[in-house]
Order: sequence, then structure tokens, then C-alpha cells
Amino acid sequence: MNIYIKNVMTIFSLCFLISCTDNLNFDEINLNVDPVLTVPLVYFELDQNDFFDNTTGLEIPLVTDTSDFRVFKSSAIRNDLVKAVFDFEIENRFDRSFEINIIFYDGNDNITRTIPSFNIVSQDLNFVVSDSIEIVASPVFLSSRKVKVEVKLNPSSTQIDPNVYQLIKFKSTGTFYLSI
Amino acid sequence: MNKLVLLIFLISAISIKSQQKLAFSFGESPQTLLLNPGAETNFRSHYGIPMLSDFSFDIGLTGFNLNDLFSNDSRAFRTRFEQVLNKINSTDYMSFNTKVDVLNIGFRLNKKTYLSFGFYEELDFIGYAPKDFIELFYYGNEPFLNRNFSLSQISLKGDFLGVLHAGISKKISEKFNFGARIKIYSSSINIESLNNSGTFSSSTSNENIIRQSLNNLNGQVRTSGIVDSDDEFIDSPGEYFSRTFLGGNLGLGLDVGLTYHFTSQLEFTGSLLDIGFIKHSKNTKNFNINGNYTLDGLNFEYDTSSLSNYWQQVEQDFRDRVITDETQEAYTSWRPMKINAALKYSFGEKREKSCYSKTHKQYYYNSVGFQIHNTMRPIKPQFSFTSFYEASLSKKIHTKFTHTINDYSSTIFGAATSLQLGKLYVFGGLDNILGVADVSTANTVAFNFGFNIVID
Repeated sequence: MNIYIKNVMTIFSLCFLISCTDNLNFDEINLNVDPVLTVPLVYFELDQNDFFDNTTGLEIPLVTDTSDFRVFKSSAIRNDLVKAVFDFEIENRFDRSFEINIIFYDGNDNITRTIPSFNIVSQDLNFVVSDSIEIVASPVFLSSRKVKVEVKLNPSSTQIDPNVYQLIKFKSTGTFYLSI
Repeated sequence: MNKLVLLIFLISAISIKSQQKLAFSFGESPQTLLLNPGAETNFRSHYGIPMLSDFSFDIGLTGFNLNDLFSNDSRAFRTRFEQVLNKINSTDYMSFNTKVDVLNIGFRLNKKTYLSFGFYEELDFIGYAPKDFIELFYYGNEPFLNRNFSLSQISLKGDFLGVLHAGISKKISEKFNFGARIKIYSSSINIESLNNSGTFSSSTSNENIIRQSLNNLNGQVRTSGIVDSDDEFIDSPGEYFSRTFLGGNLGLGLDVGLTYHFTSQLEFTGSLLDIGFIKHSKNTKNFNINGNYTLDGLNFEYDTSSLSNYWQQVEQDFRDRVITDETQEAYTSWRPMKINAALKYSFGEKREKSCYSKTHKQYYYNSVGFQIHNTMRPIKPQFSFTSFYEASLSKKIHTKFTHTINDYSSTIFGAATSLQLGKLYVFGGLDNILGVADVSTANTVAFNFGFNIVID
């Protein structure tokens, strides 16, 4: 009986002793997570009435609007952001050209980033442009808290007719490259 | 330090699993009664050695093995991680279950009736791989335009509890033995997130370049025993253990089982375990999220007459449409019911064994058969099929060899032995013998042991 027990114990012990994990390597566990997040940002549609003052009968050459921009209020985003890319798509059905300016501000209304202006010629239905910001090169961008979009109606010999329907559509996304 | 913890965790996670396959319907040891209250007993009484009468440890991981992640080759860890992530699916899971038999005693009431009772502690957890959200976290949403990320993939359930139990095994006829066990559960910790639904997606849109949507979101996490009534985390291990002995949230359960001899050589055994529930009303903390939401972005209106804070509007709109709340409502959780069944054909040399009260039992030295085991789990049952061969080397030494197919592998070979050393019954089993040679590639390794004093 004792011999049998010894044999059984030996077999069980051997099974555990010969268990090997020698071919495993735990020294190079280094996993960087680099997610890329895309979110919709500002969008709008403006028609001829937005550029025409019915009271004065004159064109409105510039319209602007502003919003809080709270993406960077999160310290996790601020700490891990490597690059931000803004994509814009504009459909201009006006017979006039536009200039669009996008400006980011910090909480004290100091400019943190001005995206280079873009001009959209009349009847350009598929205007596409991107702006990329490397955070290492522009760390001040992380203090952005507001965004303003200016839409400037470029001067022309033809005037806006409030009775003729025209439209400009603006779309944008922000793509944020993180390294966690 | 982190690597050491990770290493210990992952070495543990090599699917030490399914020891019940070895112990079920084998060896007539007292611990068999916990797997089948209708098991036949041929002894007068038994006394489990406290804390050692039945110890089982069962941890499993499906979808990949250690070698997939940590093989010592030239691939970067990141590459291996991404290959594993690509390989797993949302029904892969990590589970563990450990039971420590604190007290286990039984005695024969009369020729036909055997009573047993005791108390054990159990830790049980299963969590499924929410592949959608792991990929969303790892890669972000940008590469997955128009893909639905499903909240239903988040599914987990964990319990730490004590079980006070009393059972009866009764011989109805020469052919038929029936048994039942009543259980009182005392839950110390419960956490579960089940039956979640809804999707998150980023899709192309007419309004803006992309649209983000939360569709039919309905999620919940229910906990008890983790946060006290003052909203403070309970950090006393002593309190967690003390609550397992009738001090926690209580529940009721039932085990039933039977043994039936079609002939002297053909035997069927079956059991249903943990048909029961726990009512959680103390120290509960639940988190819920419901709603639908579509985000196209900040819709600038260029209305000089009413300046808007678009971002604030978006946040408010989200809060209005996606409702999150915390409650302390009572809830009921169901125990993971187990179904066990075995069909055994005995053959070979026929022997007789003296049993209690000068009765005798006939048995054969050899048997073959198959078993099924099924544990009801949130997404799908954990099912295994085992074929086995049993050989008795003597009246006091029994051995069992098994081959099992389950979620982990289709080539799991196991061996178990049951010894009688005087009045000491010892059971020990090892599963996936081939796998222990290199646990890095094994999906399952199992062990189980028990020491009981048995009075014939």
C-alpha cells in the first residue's frame, strides 16, 4: 500500500514539477494603447436670408458664432493627446464665394489656434480641407475652451437676392490621436 | 511588481477546471454527496477533516492561452496582443470557482437513509470578453465607421458566499436511490451586470460628416456587500468572511439527485445542483443607464438675437435623453444551476464488499461510461462531455481515467484515484495530464482533493 501511495504521489508531483513555462517571456510587457477618436463638431446651413438685412436692404458681409469647446477640459485627453485633425466639408450653392475662418480661444479669450482661412468659390459643392495640429508643436492648443466660426461673404458685383434660394452647408469633425 | 501580479494572475488563469468530472459518480467518497445528493453511500458515518474534506479550485480562460500572449519569439507584445484580440470573440470568458469545505459530517439514520450536512465557502465569477468595447478602447472609433458596438457583450457575475446545507440520501428500492439537499446561502459579495442591451455607433450622416448614436441603451450593474449604507466601500476582509455565515444577504437553494440501476451492470446517476436564489437587500448599490441619443455635433445657428451655448445644450440634451441613476433597491440573483449526469456500464471481475450493518455490496472491478456537466451561465451554458474508464485495483483503491471535450479543449485527459487508508478516505484527481507538461499552451488543467474519515 505504501509503495502505491508513494507512486501516486510521485506521479502527481512530477506532473506539477515538469509543468514548464520556460518558453514564455514576461519581460517585454509594454502595451501602449493608441486609440483614434472621431467626433462630430460644428455644422450649419446658411441661406441667402442670413446674409441679407431686410431692414436696411443691405448685405451682411460677415456672420460669426461661438461655442464652448470642452474637449480639453478632461485632463485624460489633455495628457494623452498626440495629434488633432480637423476635417471640413463645405457645399456652396451660392453664386458667391465665401471665406471661412475658424479660431480657437482659451478661457480668457486669447487665441490658441487659428485654422488657416479657406476660400470656397461659388457653386463648389465638394470643398474638403483638413488641418492637423501636433500637440508637441502647439501645446497651447490644449488650453482651448471656445471655438468661433466666421463666415465672410466675399464682395461681388452681384448682390444677394433674398427671394432667390441659395445655401452653404458646413460640416466638420475632430479626430483625436491619443497615446495612453 | 505589476508584472509579478500579472504573472501570478495569468499562471492561475490556465483553466484549472472541471475537477467535478473526475469526482462525479466515482469512488463512493462522501464528497460525492455534494455533487449528487442521490449518490449511494455504503458507510455508517463520515467526518470531513475541516477545511480539507473537499477543496476545489477551478479557473478558466477561453479564446487564447498564455503562449499566445507571452511566447518568447521576435514578435512585439503589441502584435501578439492584437492577434489575441482578433482571435477572441464575445462569448469567450474568464471564470473561476473555488470551494472550501469548512465542515462536512454525515451519518446513517437507518438502513435506507443517510443524512449529511455541513458548511462551505464559495467564490464564483464569470466575465465575458466585451470584444466590441476592448476594440473601441484599444483602437478608438475612427477605424470602425458604421459598426455597432454592442452593450450586450458586457456580462459578468461574481459571488462570494457561504452555504449551510443538509441533505438526505434515501434508498427507495434496490435499483433506485434518491437524494436532496437544502441549502441556505449567505451572500457576502455579489456583483452582476446582466442582460444589457443597446449599441454605440459612429456612422455617416447627412447632417454632419459623421453621427454618433446610442441606440436603445439599457444597462445595469447591481452590487451588494461592497458599499455600506453610508456609501463607503467596505474594506474589512473580516467583515466579508463573517457575513458568509448567515450574516449576509440570505437565499435558499435545493440540490436533487438520483442513482438508478437498469441492471446490475448499468447505472445512471444524475443531479441538479443549486436550484436557488439569493435576495439582496442589505448594502445594495445599483447603477442604471437607459436611453437613446444621437449626436450630430454643435449646430451653429448664427442667430444674433439669441446667442446659444451649443456645448451646454448638447450636454443637457444628453442628460435628458440618457438617464443614469444609482439606487439601493433590493434585487434577486439566481445561483448558477448545474446539471450533471452519468451513464456507467460495469464489467469484469465481480467482488463483494462488506458494508454497514453486516450488509454486502457487489461491484465490478471495471466500468466505462460517459458524463455530461452543464453550468448555467449568463450568455451560454458551460457544457462538457466526458467519457471515462474506471478500474478498481483492490477493494480500497479505485482509479478513473477520463477524456473530456468542452469549451477549453477537445483533448483533455484526466486521472483520479480514491484510496482508503484505514478509516481515512483520500480522493485526488488531475485533469489534462498532457497539458501540465507545458501550461503555457494548455487551456485546462484541473485538480481536486479531499480527506474524510469514514466509518464503515
